[in-house]
Parts: sequence; structure tokens; C-alpha cells
Amino acid sequence: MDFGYNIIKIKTVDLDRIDKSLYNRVVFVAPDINKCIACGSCSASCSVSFYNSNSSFRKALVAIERDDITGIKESLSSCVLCGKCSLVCPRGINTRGVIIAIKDLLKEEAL
Amino acid sequence: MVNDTIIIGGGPAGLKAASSLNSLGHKVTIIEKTEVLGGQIKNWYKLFPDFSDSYSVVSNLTNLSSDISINLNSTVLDVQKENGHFNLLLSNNKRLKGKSILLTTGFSLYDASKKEEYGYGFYKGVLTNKDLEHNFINNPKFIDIDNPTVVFIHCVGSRDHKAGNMHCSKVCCVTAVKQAIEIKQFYPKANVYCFYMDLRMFGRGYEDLYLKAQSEYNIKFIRGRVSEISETFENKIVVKAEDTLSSKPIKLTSDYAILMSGIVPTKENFPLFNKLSVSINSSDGFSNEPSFNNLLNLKTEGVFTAGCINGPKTIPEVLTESDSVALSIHSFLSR
Repeated sequence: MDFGYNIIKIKTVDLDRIDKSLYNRVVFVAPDINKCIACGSCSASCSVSFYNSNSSFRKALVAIERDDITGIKESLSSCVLCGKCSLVCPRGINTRGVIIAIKDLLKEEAL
Repeated sequence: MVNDTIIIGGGPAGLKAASSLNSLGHKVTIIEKTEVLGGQIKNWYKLFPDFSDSYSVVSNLTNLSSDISINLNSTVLDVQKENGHFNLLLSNNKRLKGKSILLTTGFSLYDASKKEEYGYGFYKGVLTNKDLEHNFINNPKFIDIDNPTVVFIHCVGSRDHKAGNMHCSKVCCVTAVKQAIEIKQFYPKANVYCFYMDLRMFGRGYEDLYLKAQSEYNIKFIRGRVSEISETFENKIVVKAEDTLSSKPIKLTSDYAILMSGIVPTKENFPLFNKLSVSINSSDGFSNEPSFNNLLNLKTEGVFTAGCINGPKTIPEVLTESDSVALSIHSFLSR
């Protein structure tokens, strides 16, 4: 039925309500992601981001932490696992390993 | 009798300079406006970055030689220069004479109630960094649940043109990280968040502390300046900001919000500075604009400054500056 208006999904991240289970599972398998300082060198060095600006490991991490995973799977699927991001990460996070772990978790949860 | 140096302000800067000048053989008098020596560091529980006990630092600094005379509960009402000597009139009608004056009057903490959007003074759950240290000293278990959510809000009154403070207060970033870790130590199940603009971990060991906060204490750092704080019917504190890393508004309900009030100049001392022709920077209100070739850059002969009167500083920086100014005073007196 058309009432003449739509309901828009609220864009605010409400930290009281978000589902932290996926993020907690990622932290469990890759505790190093807590060390991230969001500098963006992973995204800047990414071989794929030149062609696909949606592919950003930094953004993917924040998105998972904020339980906003629409587009994450697509963004990570373009990863070619070249490992340049792991090479440049100043906090020594095994970003390539984290990407593989996140993809596995997403597959398990069939998201 | 004539003092070699009259030190105005009995905090770390004044105490350190007093003992250095005393060991160089000069007759020193300290003037302190409160009833006890030690300055603002007394209000602090532990110090960054190594969690040194601030009590032990204060007792070490106040362990002075008996040659140093101390005037507590005194302020300077008037000062005049006559025949190269400074004549001071104190609030207790005592008169002092000195060959040189060292101003170590320190700083004030920004009055957080001026940032009305944060509701300090209205909401019980909104505290300042100083209030939190007070609780750590007197009653660290001031929160009656074991898994509180505590939010730290950086840059309150600092880097804020509208608040009249363009400057970075420098030490609050690492203080927030230190206090966040202390909350986690008292309440291991707590959820702790820091809302920051930049994290300025400039000092030795600070970056390690930040890494420890992230990896060992699971403290969450969210980049975005808090825009407003409100209260729920259950007296919980609601914090709103933009999560600038995901470009989305973010909202969080917490038990306590801690405002990191910055270091600001003490305006009530400006009349004294004017009498001694100590320059006051028009931008940040701190005194003494040093140049590379003239670190002291003093306008009146015989008047010196040290410590946070010259801008925000850490305790080790204050102590180093006091020692350096003591040497300058020594060479001035030995001329």
C-alpha cells in the first residue's frame, strides 16, 4: 500500500544497538586489528583501489566495527591478495591475513 | 634583608628553581597563594607515561633546604623597582626585597562549563579530567557497576577559536590515554571510548602507551569532535559526534563522560605581569615568546619566567626549564 511516504533507514551509527558479534569474531581470530590507527596506508598502497575505490581495507575495518557490512563482501572480493598493504602497515598488522579471515567468516555466516 | 631571588608560585617550576638556586648559593624566597606547596600536580593521582605516583614527585620537590624561606597563603599585591631592587607587598602585609624575580605562576584548567553543549555542571555523569583524578585519589570505586561505559572527550577548550584558545594544550591527549587505562585497571569490564581530533603522542613513551591502550586494554578510539552531550531519564550520558573515518554520525550512551579540559593562562595574574612588563602573547595568552636565539626573551631586567606560565608543558619539561632559568638567574646575579 502506498501511503505517500517512505521510511528511510537511519544513517547514524548507534553504538548502543549495533551487533558487535562479527567484529568480535574478527578480533578473536585477528586481535592485531585493535592496533589499527586508521592511517590509510593500506588503502593507499592497494593495487586494486586504483580501479575500484570501494576497495579500502581501512574502510572495511571501520565498517565491520560499526556493523555496517553492506558492500564489504564486494569490496574484499576484488582483493588480489598481493600483500602490499601488509608491507606498508606501520603497526605491523598482517592485513592480508585479516582479509582472508574476514572473507572466511563472511562465508561461514553466509553473508 | 635582600633576597637574591623571589619566586612567585610554589608549583613544580618554582620548587625546582628554588632548590637549584639554593644549591648555587643564592638566598631564595617562595611566595605561594594556597596553603600548601606543590601546585596543581597535587590534584593528580598518577603521571603519564609511566604511572609514576604524583605524591612521590610532590614530596620529592617539596623536600627543600631550610635555607629557603616560604610564604604560604600569600599573593603579591604590589611590586615596585627601586635602585635595581624589587620591593614586593604581600597580601599578609609582609614586605619583601629581592634582586630578581622568577614568575612560576603556572596555568589554569579551562572552565569546562563554558562549553555549554557538554553540560558540565548540569549532568552528574559529566566530569573533567581533574574531577576524575580527584576520584582516583579519594574514591577510585566511585562507579557502582563493574562494567561502566566511560567516554573521554579530547580537546575541551583547546584548539577552539570560539573558546578563545587557538593553542593545543599538548598534554591532554596522553592524559586521556592514561586515564582511560586507569579506568580499565579499576574496572576491567569497562567499555572505554576516546573521541579525538588528532592524537598528539609527542613524548617519549607516549606512543607505546597508546598502543598498549589499544591492544592490551581494548580502548576504542573514535576520530571526531563531540558535538553535544545530553542526558537520558536514567541519568545516562548520551554522546554525539561524527565518526569521521566512516563519514557517519555516531551516538553512544555512557555512564560517564570525561572532558579533557586544556591548559589555559591564568588571567588573574595578568595585572602582576603588566607591572613587571612581562609580555603576554596576544594569540594564546601565555607569556614569553622565545626565539631560537633568545630562549628567555625577557623585557625587564631581573624578571624571569619558567613553567606553564610560558605555555603547556609536561612535568619533565617544566623541571628542565626551571633548571635552565636557574642558571640564567645565577649568571644575572653573578654579574
